[in-house]
Amino acid sequence: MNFKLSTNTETGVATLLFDFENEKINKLDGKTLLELKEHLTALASDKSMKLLVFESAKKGIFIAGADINEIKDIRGKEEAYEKARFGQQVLHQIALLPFPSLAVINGACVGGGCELALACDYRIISDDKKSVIGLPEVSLGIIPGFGGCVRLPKLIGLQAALQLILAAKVIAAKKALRLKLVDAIYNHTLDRAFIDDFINSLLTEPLFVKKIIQKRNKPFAQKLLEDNVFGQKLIFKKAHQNLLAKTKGHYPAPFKALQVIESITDMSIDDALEEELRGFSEVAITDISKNLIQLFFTSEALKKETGINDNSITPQVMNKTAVLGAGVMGGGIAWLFSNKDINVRLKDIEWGAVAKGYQTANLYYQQMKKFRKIKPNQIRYKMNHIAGCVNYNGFQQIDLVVEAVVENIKVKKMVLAEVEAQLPEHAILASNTSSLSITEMAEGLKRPENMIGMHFFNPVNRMPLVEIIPGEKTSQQTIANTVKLAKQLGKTPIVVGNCAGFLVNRILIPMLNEAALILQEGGNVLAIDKSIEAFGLPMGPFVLADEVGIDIGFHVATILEEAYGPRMKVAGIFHPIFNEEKLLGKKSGTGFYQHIKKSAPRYNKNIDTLLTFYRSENNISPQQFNHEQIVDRCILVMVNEAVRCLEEGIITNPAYLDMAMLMGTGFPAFHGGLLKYADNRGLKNVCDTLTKLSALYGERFSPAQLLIDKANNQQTFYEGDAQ
Amino acid sequence: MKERLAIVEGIRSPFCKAGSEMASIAPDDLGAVIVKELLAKTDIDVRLIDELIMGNVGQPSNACNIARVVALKAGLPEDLIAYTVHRNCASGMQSITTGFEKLLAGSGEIVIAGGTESMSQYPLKFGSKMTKLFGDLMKAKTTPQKLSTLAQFRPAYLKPIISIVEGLTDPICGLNMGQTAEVLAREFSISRAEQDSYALNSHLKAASAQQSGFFEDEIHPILLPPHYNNVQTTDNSIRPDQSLEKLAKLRPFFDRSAGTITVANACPITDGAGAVLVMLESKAKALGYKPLGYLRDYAYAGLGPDRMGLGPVYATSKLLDKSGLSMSDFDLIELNEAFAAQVIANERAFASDLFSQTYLNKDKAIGAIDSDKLNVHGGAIALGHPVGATGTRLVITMLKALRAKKQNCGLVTLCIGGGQGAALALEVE
Repeated sequence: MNFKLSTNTETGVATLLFDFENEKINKLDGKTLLELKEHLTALASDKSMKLLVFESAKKGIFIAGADINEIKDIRGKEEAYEKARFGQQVLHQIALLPFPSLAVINGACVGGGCELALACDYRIISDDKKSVIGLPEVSLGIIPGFGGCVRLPKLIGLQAALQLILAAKVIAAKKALRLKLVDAIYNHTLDRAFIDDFINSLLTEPLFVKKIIQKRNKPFAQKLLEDNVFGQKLIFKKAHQNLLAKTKGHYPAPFKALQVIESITDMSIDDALEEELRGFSEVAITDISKNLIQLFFTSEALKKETGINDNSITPQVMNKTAVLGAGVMGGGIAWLFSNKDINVRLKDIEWGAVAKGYQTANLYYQQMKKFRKIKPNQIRYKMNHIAGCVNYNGFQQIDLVVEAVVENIKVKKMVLAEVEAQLPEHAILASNTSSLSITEMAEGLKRPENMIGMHFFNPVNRMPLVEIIPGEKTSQQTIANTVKLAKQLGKTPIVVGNCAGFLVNRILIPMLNEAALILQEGGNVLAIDKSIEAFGLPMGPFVLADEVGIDIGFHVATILEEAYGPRMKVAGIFHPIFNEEKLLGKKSGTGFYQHIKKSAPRYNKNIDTLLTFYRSENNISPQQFNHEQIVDRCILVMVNEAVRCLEEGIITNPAYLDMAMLMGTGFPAFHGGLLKYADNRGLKNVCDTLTKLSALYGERFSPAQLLIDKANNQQTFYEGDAQ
Repeated sequence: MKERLAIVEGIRSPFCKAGSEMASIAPDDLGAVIVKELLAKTDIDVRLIDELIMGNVGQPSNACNIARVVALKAGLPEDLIAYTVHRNCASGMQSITTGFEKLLAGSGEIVIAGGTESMSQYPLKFGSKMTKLFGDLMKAKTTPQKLSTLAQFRPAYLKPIISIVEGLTDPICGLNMGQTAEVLAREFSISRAEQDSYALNSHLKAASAQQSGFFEDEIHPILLPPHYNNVQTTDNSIRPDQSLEKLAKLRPFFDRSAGTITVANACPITDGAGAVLVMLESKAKALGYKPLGYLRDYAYAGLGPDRMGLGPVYATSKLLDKSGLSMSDFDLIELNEAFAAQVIANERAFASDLFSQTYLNKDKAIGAIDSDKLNVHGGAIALGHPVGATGTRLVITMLKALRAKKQNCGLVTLCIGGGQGAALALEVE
């Protein structure tokens, strides 16, 4: 039994205390809804009842929502419709009770939980930090289906409701009060007294009730805009435009939510609820929704991930850190530590270089200030966590050093040996290399077990992923400590094997290279970028190359070619572009595009000339490539490499691989990830296409053995695996 | 004899003229950078430290009890206590002697003492009339009330009170610090030429010390907000190209008609910070430190606010009585250069039997200052005088100088606005 009913016959107050058995959270699964329905039916006929109060027995959680597993398992449209209809009806029963109802929101009140609260007549929320409320359904590719689309706009107005639902926003208590989504906020340390008073007033003071209802009235300006057909049309049009700009049309759920909300503005409540169900059942069965739900589960699993299998090892907290090398990465990492109030010494060989690191950190803080995420005096405080230096003073007390010097194995080995001598025995040496071997770096160290790779992505303030790379001798304790630290820094650590390029670059760079190959064979920069963007990547390969820096891309690509041989052979066209013309991309102002300040990048026409020369020199007769060919070559080359990574055990969990690519490269979430994309496309199809491509363009496309095996056995990467 | 105070290590920031490179760094941030570096350099376990004491004169209103703000910004633990001391120009010294007293009294074993000052950031304030007007406006409830309050406004109310000018003016005798130096110049008949020549020497000595790298060991470079494009590594008010001709060109500043004190034979107003790690000698030995040096004894003395510049004579006299030392025991002397006239006045007073008889109740002069021992690396006229931090710098500089010259005993003394003097006897061995 998940609900405990207590009734006070004297006052006529019934309380349903929600306490989901054997779980830390409350959720509305089918069984619970059935239980609730029975309670509601019984209560409705009880003439002595005056008020129903919903409370939660879970600390910090009111109701976390519907059961996502149940949504994930929905296959058919009918099933989706029926499931949502049942929940919707039960919650509607609350609204139809012959007496009022009150939701006492003591914590997270999300999705179905919010819809339950909306079905009540009154809502009060605690001022606990954990108290957030909202309808984030579209982030899982579905729309609110328990009446949220119907009730929220009615309560808080069209614009506010659209903002919350379409952006999948959850908001804090204060904002909820401002939007009139709740009727009052209470001090969570004095909750009982407030709640009892509130209930008492509801029952005994008609004026109190009247005031609450009056408070919900829309202000005049809002009324003027929202309560007429033209105003509404304008709002919907604007919302549609914003959605298009934000999602580029790749995510159907918010559009469906918008369409449902628009179509029900004038409907009766019953018709409106019916319309919501239809909308829900259409999106709930899409691959995109399944993909997004899968990613949600993956990210939940990653939160619990310790990076090791040995439960007896407890990760240690690291309070004192240092960063070697104050370049953009070093400065960014120092910013990250300082922003999480961890003291960090930022060392370089001379003060001018240290100043550069401070500039990067300060830049990130100024960006935060611009978005009102931080106040100037806090910046001063946090900048003080960074201590610039050019010597090893204080290193005897350091727990962890992140090395971010130039990507040169000799320099790195020298610097690491030098710093190791200054550190206490327990200190971890982490290298922020993007492609060099950790095992090799640890050679010659006295304590190779303390050496690990910790690959942050640029820009550090925006990229959530950190690749954690144990070398051959890295200890389990070192892995556990580093994973914990990365989490403490608010990043998502994913442990990957020590190979050239590690996971993300090893898979991503071949895509950039493939794009360059298509280009030299007759493709066109703009068309290739357009195709890849249409596929859903945030940037086309050439925009990305310019953004990262062609020099850096070329450098990593060369390392990969050395490691993996012909299948990663660097495209010839890079030679004239990088070695001869010295085009670097955005940082030098010209790359594949021309970057002029304050205007959109324009295609660099000189590339055409370079291409003409290159093609005639190498006797290439230009071919035409259509969208499908471009996408297949660029994406499947990544899929194939991803499978090889699985095969080699660089990473074992396909879901983690997909998440790494998502966070490290912006691979589109609606596809669910590279391997999920392959699963959805059908491994047989992927295999066949790769075989064809390999006949046309070379061995690099010949499908990996694991892929062939899975295709032949009609398996998928995700099958049978709840993760 | 009581135990000595071990000064384990000391670091300071560059001293920069107010309004120049370090103008945009707040004194709490500056102090924090220095304290943090001191912790790193000494590699001390922060849990062993009992207290942080900071001297600061112009306490910023956004960092009341600046010592506590410095402590937390420097990364010291929240349970570590900290408070600010203020004895005007001697605040930096006060932090050390207060620490000494606490340790001798058994309240704690290890202290960080220091001083920090941003004279650039002394604010301009509204006067009392404008302040009252603002207050009345807040109280006014109705629109007519507000309007009638506003009507009392006069443009003259906007004239700001410049804190630094107010702060450098003695509230008892009404004289500006420069004017008190004029008083001394007259009492001891010190000519403009003597003062200029003294000032020139200060710059030349400081310049040569800077060139030889003497200060590098005590200075921790400061990255400069708000853009962090530059790093300040050296003191910026030393003029290697200073000359008597240039000095002679300036007009007297404090007494325009008949005065002798110019801005160039006085110390500039300055930003800077310094900090030292101190503990009793026995504790330092137990922890295995080799301290920079020791504070053997000290004394503060009071005198007329209008003659505050003579503080060193009074304080040194008291120190000698208290410690049994004599002037000949000191190998080096740091006498803070607030004004050239003030230093010269002290030199004369130290050497004068009559002065001792008249003011110090002694038969004989307390002892002439050997000019070869005095301020051998230049003084505040060249280096600047960030009031809260100067005392700390004098102690650090003295100990480093004694070590460099392989000498043992030093006197550090300074005059204090308001009519006091401080004198510290330092030893290396």
